[in-house]
Amino acid sequence: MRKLFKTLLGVSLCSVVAVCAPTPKSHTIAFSLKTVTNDDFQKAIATSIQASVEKAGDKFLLVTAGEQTAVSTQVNQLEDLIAKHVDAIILNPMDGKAVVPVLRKAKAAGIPVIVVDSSVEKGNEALYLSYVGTDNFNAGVEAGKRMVKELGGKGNVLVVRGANGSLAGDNRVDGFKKGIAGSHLTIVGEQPGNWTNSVSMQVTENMLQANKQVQGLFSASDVMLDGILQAIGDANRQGIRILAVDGSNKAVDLVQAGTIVGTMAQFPAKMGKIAVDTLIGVLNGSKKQAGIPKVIDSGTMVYDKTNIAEARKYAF
Amino acid sequence: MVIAHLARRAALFALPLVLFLVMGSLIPHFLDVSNLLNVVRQSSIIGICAVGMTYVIIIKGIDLSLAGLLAFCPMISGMLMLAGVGTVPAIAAGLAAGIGMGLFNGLMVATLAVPAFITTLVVGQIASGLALIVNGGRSIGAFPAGFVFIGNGTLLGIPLSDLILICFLALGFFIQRKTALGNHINALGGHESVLRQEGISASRLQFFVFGFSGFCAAVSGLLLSAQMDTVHPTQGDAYQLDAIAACIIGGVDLAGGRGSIPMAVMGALIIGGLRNALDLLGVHPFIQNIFIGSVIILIVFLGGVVRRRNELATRGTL
Repeated sequence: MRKLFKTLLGVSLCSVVAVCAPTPKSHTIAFSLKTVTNDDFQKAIATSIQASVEKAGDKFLLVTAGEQTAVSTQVNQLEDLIAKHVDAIILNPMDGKAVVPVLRKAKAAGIPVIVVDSSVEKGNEALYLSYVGTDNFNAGVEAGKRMVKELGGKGNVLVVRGANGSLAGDNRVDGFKKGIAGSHLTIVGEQPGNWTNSVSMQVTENMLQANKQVQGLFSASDVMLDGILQAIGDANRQGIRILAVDGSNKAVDLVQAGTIVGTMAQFPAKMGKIAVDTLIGVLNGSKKQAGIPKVIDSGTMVYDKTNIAEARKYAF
Repeated sequence: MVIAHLARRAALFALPLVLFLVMGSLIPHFLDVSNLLNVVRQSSIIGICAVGMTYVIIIKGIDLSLAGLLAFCPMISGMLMLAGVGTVPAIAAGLAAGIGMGLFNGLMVATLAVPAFITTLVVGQIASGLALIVNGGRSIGAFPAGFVFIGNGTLLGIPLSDLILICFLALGFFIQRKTALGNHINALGGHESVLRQEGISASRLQFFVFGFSGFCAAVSGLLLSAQMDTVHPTQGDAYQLDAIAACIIGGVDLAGGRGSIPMAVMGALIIGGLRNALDLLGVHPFIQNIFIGSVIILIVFLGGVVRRRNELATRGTL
């Protein structure tokens, strides 16, 4: 019995190792993020990074924490990546503060890090090479200004945030608030949707229940739209003007159908490519660390009914 | 006969050892000293929770308030520290919160006979909610260097987290084996009549056990936040079931009355070690869960088989 167990274990471990055995003499670049399940945006970044890394002849490691909110899991995984002596890390932190201690360890181990999409807490710039991402605050501001235009300067607005601790999400909402400042728009409800449809549906239902007069809704991401629209449909509310952020194909479809007003585009493929090019440049010495800008803006724009053709070119 | 009996017991220890050596030989960097110290450090959170949980399970209860306390207690300490309160008093406040909520659980179980399952679940929900409310759902961080050092510093090359785990292991072991209190706790789980005969109050024991579990949860939560230099309002969710799993792997009997704290800590190390090994292999977390779940079932099954054989062997000689 015991012998059988040991054999089975050995065989299963061997097969797992065989599948994951690394090829020697090429750089191993790991991408640590929350998850690619049910998240087109993260998937787009990951696909772009994988393509760029493999094109350069290096090895790509996808390290997902498995969920949108598994903060300490990501920290543990980063520690294990350091133990594994990977050559470089691209990081999309779930919590911009929680990764600071482990980034210090990465720096001490001499592993270069590039942060994408969601930023690390201010004051820790020395711990990474560069942050490549959308100016999330600005995207929020533009969305806010557009909402003011849509509602004619007054009305009640609901906000569905991202997950707690996500600086990308927080920046978008802060920007949105700045964008509507000075108008007669009031935010009557604001809840975190945790980047998932199940939670966004729940919080939207509750906010609609509590507020019978709602004219607009801002979602921190396209990924939460299905849940939000389901809640609006269930509550039989019409005419709510919706703005979101990401620029995914799903959102562009909704813009085309008139269900939502527009979405602030992000360019995940560009983000991934810039991150990898910069890292590989540093690894093979062609780029000087000192010459890399701390923040690289991968750009944003509004996709609405007027520029669907252009949106389709970049949507993911 | 004696040799066969010893061999059976040796097998229970040999299994994790073999697992460990196989993983070490197949996975590069697993046996690096820095990696192993890290495994203990990552497991210390589950391990300390498991110390408290063992007693609770021994007295036929369960503590489902871990997740909430793991977030709420450090949130209290964190907010105090950021408001300028000294590190030590802030930590004391967090610990007091954990002990307080644990004692409340004990109160419900002892005086109102509320099942532990229900009271700890409710207290846990309240704690989780409070952790989210007190700071508007946001995480807090950037704590004083002294606090961060507890989570990330080393003493003679060994991470402080590991040393804290060892202290709790020693404390738990000492109470369980060397004090009357420990005997009484075991009795409460297995032979309540003995307690009644000796006139020992079951309620006082329940107070202690749940209060101690709350204390362990508070310590774990504070340690986790010290490691991450952050208190994230949902940081405890991942650890609750792992702590219970650690106890089960360690042979703590869910039916009550039997359990060893060192073995529960060993269970925590097994879980931490497996996750680390699978991370080093680049295995996706979903598959990791399946793998770890299967290993848990296997170990519990084999433990049960060996125990049955021991029981039958003993009965056979009567």
